[in-house]
Amino acid sequence: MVVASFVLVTFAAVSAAFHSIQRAMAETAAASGVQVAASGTPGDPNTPDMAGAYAPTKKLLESVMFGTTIEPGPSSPSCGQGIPDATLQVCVYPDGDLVAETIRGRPGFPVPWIDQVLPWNIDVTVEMHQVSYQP
Amino acid sequence: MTRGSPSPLAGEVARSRAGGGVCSGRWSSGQALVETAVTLPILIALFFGFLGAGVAAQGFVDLNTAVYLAAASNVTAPAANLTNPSGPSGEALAQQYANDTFDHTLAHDSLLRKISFGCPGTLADYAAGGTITCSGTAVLEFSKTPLSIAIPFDPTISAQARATRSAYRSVPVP
Repeated sequence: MVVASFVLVTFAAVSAAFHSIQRAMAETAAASGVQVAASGTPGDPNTPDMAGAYAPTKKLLESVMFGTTIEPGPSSPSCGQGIPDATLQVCVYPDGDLVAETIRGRPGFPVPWIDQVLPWNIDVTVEMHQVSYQP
Repeated sequence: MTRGSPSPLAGEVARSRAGGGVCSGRWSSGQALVETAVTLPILIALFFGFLGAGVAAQGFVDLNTAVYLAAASNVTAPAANLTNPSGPSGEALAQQYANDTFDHTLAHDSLLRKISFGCPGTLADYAAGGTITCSGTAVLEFSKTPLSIAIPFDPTISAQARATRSAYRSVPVP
């Protein structure tokens, strides 16, 4: 009984720590992506570069999202809907004068069957005022 | 009971330790029960402690990110309000950009409640090459989660970020 409890608590601690690392990286990735999105598009400095946010975000996410598919999502807050497990969507969209980036989904877990049980979803949204350029 | 007479319990223990008594199974299951009763609360406290540490780390990261992006918004705001000269000044515009970024980012975290945010600075800090320091404070609301059983208070956390303006601003602030 004690051994079983000990193993359970140890497993819970390790998986919670792993989720914390993944979520912290998602936050960092979203912050780096939204800065690109909030800056200007090449050739049109007053238009946010929505498409440019995906590449830096994906590059950072890949380092900790083992066995997870990372894909671009729709340009709206309805991000990560109807996607399979072990998939994350990166959505960049305007919100008034700000640009928002959302990373949403359920990342893969090192122990395959356990991610069905644990609610380790990732749902991170950051926003930044778009950069404007004046003559 | 007199000092000289052996107690019935002592006899039971002796038989149990010898392994031949009828109470052997009862003794060991009692021992396991006591061990479990002592260990289980500690393990449950550890479990909630790990989860609480994870949620706290998440709150710190979220607040840090919000302040960091707000500082970046502040230094990328226009140096002067050319599009609306009668509107807010360049400094006010920079502060507004930072506030908007901080508020909108923090609004997506259901466990953080804003207490204060600001990027105080002199006029020189808003000039080309100036450095601004932004600070944000928020309450991490454990009371909104089941973790409030183990963590019965809502800690206040804060974060700071510094950002430097480009030295090549189009409109220098006097």
